[in-house]
Amino acid sequence: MAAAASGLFSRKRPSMRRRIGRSVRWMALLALACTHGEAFTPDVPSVNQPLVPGQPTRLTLNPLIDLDASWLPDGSGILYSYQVPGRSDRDRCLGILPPDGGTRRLEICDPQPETSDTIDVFGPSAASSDGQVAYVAFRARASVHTPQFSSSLLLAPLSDALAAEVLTTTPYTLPTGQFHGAISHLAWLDDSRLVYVGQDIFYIRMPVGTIGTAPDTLPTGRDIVVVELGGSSPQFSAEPNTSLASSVVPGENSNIIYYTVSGDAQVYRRVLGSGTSTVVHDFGAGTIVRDVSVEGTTLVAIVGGRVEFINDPVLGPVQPDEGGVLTMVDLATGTQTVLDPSPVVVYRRPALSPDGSKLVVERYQVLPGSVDRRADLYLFTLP
Amino acid sequence: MIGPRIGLLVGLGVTLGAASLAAQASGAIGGRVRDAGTTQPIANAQITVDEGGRGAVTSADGRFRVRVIRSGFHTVRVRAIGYRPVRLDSVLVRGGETTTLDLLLTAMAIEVEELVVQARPDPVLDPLATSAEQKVTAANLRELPVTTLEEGIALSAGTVGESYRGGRLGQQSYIVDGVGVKNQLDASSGPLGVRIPPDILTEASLVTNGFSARYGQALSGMINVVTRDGGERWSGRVLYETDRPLWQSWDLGLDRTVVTASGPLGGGVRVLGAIDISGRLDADPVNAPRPADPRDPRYERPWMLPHNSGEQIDAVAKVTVPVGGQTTLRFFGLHSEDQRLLYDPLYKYDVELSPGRRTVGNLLTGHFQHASGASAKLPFVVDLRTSFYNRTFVRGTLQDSVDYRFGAITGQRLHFVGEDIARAQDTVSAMAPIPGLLPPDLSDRTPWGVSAFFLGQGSRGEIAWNRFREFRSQLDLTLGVGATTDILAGGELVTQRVQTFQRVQGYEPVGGAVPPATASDFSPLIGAAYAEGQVRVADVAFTGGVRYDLFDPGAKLPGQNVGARQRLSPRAAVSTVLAGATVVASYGLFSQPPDFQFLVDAAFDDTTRTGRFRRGNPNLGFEKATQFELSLRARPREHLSLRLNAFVKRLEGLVASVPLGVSADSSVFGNTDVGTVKGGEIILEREPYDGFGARVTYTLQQATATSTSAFLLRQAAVIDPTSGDTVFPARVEFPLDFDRRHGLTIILQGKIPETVGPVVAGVRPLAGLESAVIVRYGSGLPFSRTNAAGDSLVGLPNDSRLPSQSTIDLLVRRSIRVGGTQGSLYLDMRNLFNRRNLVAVRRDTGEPELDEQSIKDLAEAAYQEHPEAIPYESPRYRAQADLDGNGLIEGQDELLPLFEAAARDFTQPLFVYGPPRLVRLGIEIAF
Repeated sequence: MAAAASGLFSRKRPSMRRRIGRSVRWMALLALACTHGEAFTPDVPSVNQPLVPGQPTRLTLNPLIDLDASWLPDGSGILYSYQVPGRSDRDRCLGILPPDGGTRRLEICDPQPETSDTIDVFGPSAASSDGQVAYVAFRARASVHTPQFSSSLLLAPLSDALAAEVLTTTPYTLPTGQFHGAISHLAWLDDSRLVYVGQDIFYIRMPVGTIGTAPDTLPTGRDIVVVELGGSSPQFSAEPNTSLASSVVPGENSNIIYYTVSGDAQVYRRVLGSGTSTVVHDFGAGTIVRDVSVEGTTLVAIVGGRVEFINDPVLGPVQPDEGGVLTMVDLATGTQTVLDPSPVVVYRRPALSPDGSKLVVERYQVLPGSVDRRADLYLFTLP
Repeated sequence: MIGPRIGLLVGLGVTLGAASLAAQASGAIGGRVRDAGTTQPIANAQITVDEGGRGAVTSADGRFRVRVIRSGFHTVRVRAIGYRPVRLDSVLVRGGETTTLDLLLTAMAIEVEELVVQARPDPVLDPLATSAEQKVTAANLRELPVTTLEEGIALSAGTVGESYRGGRLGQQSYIVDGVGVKNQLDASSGPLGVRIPPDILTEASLVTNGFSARYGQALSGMINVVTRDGGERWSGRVLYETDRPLWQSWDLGLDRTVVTASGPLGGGVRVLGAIDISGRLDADPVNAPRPADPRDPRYERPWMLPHNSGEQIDAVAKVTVPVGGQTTLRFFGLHSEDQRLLYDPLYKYDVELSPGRRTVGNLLTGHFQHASGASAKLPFVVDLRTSFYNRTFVRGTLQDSVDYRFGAITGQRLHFVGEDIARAQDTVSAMAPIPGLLPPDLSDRTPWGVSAFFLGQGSRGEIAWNRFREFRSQLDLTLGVGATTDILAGGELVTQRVQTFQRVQGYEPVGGAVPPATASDFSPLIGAAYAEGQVRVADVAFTGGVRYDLFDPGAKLPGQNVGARQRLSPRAAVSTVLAGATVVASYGLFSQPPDFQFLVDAAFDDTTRTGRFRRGNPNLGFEKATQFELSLRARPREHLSLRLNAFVKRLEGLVASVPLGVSADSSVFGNTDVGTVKGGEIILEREPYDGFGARVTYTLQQATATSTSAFLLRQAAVIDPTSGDTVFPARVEFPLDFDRRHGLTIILQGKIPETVGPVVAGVRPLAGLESAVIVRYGSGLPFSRTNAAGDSLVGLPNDSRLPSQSTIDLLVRRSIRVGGTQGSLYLDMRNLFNRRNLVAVRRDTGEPELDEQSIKDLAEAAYQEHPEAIPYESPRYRAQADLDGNGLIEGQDELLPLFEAAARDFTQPLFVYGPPRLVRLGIEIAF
């Protein structure tokens, strides 16, 4: 049929195709000569600088809680957990801040927050260099007297963090017998291994056994756990002889960690699997060090302050911690520097940037007889 | 030039011809042959149409009639022994009408060449065309500032959009080349799904009364479409139109290309093909005012809405195969796709979460026609038609971002989240949240920052899919008994299949406030038979017919198997000529099965009145209408015609929502609505002559019913709060939604002669310039007022009126020659003066927008819901609102102005305004 039509064209009207082709080309040129108008697009305001520069720089002004900050592997942002304003159920989401402060540019919240009588929390988190994010999520009923601390360790692409794979749920008991009810100090050793502190967690009045005070959550580190993600299913193993570890941070390569121990003043360096540790710094007898972070020869940690180590006959060894003094150590010289000597604030969970030049940390206000439970993130630029 | 001895009279007072009421895709040629000298009738003269396949022989009184001639131009030859033959070129036959020829032959002793004359029918005075028809031809569509068939039909008297004579949407049926096509699933709320490219039309007409007993499935109107056959030589047209070279509000991202070709393939086989592709970045533009707040992103670009593009493609092919002289086969295929992104003001700042929609339709028909020979004593025509029509509709959240390739044209199908579940009608999987859907949350991307009004993160979570398919077989017999009597008989059988699926709030599992997905799959059956006769006695013609309809929803419908519903619909008309005018009185009963969407349960997103769940009713019966009409057609002057129509139509059994149980949010459909439409139409037309033509139509009508639409829930009975008695309110009728009391359309056409106009550089730039203007005025449509919550009517239904609407459209066309090829350039401007027409208002205020106090109240309520401070690092933080610069937007002084600005933004009216000035530049090349 096409051939017949084509023949007809060429026989009867030899110039028709050429004319059509010329017309079409002419019209195509007309169309391409102009571009279409555009509809309006929302201009979402954002900034990449803090409200007020300074030393330290206040990164967040959330009237609620901001915590568990960690750096993106390339130092381009700060991943952290923030309590959502406007919700009575104290839900927390993950967000990413610009490295020098400014507008939060990514928010990852529980897509099914259900009703306001549940606490839906995205907690400790860490991003890998290949674009994954591991984070802890838990949901608890807010109205019951004794919350059920069931949480999940999740793994997802950072670009689609809600499409997560569950690596494990807590509480769990490892094959080697360690029981953990919570996870803290989550970090990547490399793109296929995670490390964290497996904790025990209690909901009690403090001091233990007192009456009249409000019950609170008391987590205490128990073991350092390494998660191997390379296989068909994740493999969890407790690092031997890390009992009562209170914090952990990856070291200069993927086989080295630095960690602290509850009730102890020393920071340890350990080659994974070797079973032995060396002390890299000792803050002195009677002092408790925790929340260590190391980059190069710079070590920061929380030292002393509002912390105590109790060997409770019922709970076992526990370490209630409301924060302490932010201290930096030059591992090359052993020089120890208090970054903020103010007596009216305490710090927790410092995290050094990948190049060691900056430090993000939770800061709490000291109140008469207690510490304000609200926290903001601060940024220190290190010398 | 007509010679002095041979004349062609144009139908004035001639009553010999009779229109076939039935064959709306075709007309007839009738008339009389007489001796030019003696005016005595010539018997046994042979009339042949086109190449001789069809024809007739005159009777003793010289009368003849050739039935069932397809609409369009034909060649008629008249021969009689002893007379000079006559050939009439370009005899225009129009659907449902008789082209009447009164031929005077000159006696000749020897055979000479036939004399060629031009024929011009007079549809106005055809006394036997009893139907009330208003036609639009392909030429009209080209010459007027209209683009689509629907726009052309909307120029008819008594139309408001796609409502005809005040009826509800969906009370019309399409007839394409004699085959019925109707979206029986949801014609009242959904499109037909197939669009006829105007390039393939011979003509289309809106028939609002007196249509043949052959046609059903309609109450208010029938749109009769006749497509042309492929030509006898190759020809075609290429057209491109755009608004790209324009700027700002004149550039709405339009591109449209039409390519048409037709010609012979050999062996008498002819083919016609056309493709019509169009896209516009704002497919539903509104003439809304610029917002007052410069922080509103629409302030800078108020003319175009984002995520509101549309693209359409219509491809059609038709093959005509003659089989011998009396038999013809026609095959027709049409494929249409329509994709739309739907701007949702809730998602103004997260437009990618707004919904999209895709409609795909196909129509395939086959037509076998056999006609008796020219010398048959009992001429007959048999038409056997079969058709397959399907329409698939899907609406939901887009799976991927849209990738435009050329203007608004993506060149690929949109895909929707959950479409696979919907197509599989998998209600079990749909119990769980649909993968890919997230719950919506208050957007943080607004200029106002605060948590209020606008949504983001997730879409509304709806996925709706449905498919309607039917296979139709139709047999029609047209029998001529002499030149004065026509008998029509036939029937049709339509097997259908309906599949629906709908899930709302798909981001959450079913349960609690989330209703289950609804799905249905059933196979209705529609059947009909009819018989009709038309007898002409002198100047009077009588038409009588009866139609038998049945429909059976099918045993697979959830609920009960209620069996078939049946209905007899008699129709009658009498027409004659009185004092030079044609007068027609007609009466008819019409019926249509209800939309099948009313037979099945549905989860609706329109929840303001009747909740999210509506119970279907498999036991619905026919919707019915009884119409009386008196028409008068006259020709006061040679080129001036006048038509007057007066009609009364009683509507019964229309589907309405009635309460189901005691829940105010649950209802069931029932055949409970009754109504009345009455009115008159005046159509005054000066046919184009001497370079000028005009048409004026005026409609006065009143359309009322007890329920204004099928979805409006009305309490059929209430409990008197004092006495506790059950009270049945009187069946008061209220204005129907399309009750436009006054409608006026003026069409003016003019052409500057080729020899007129100033000469510039040796050419006359204005010579041959054609222009057409359409002026439209319509009084305001009714609407109902509600309380501020929108959940209760205030006052009576539809007791308020919108302001009147008017537009002026203009088309200017100039012929050109491109490389030896004929073509034209044109400028098409709709709503020339950019009039801001109100097409809706807020039901709570009766105005387009909220009043200032209501905006403040809205803002205050939103503030009370979210009084929390906004910290510096939050994406919601807006520095200009932080009056004390402390990094926190907190307290009423800082937050409330943001809430007020958000409320003002959210309530700014958009879709209450009609389209703005629309401009398109076009070029067409004919080959």
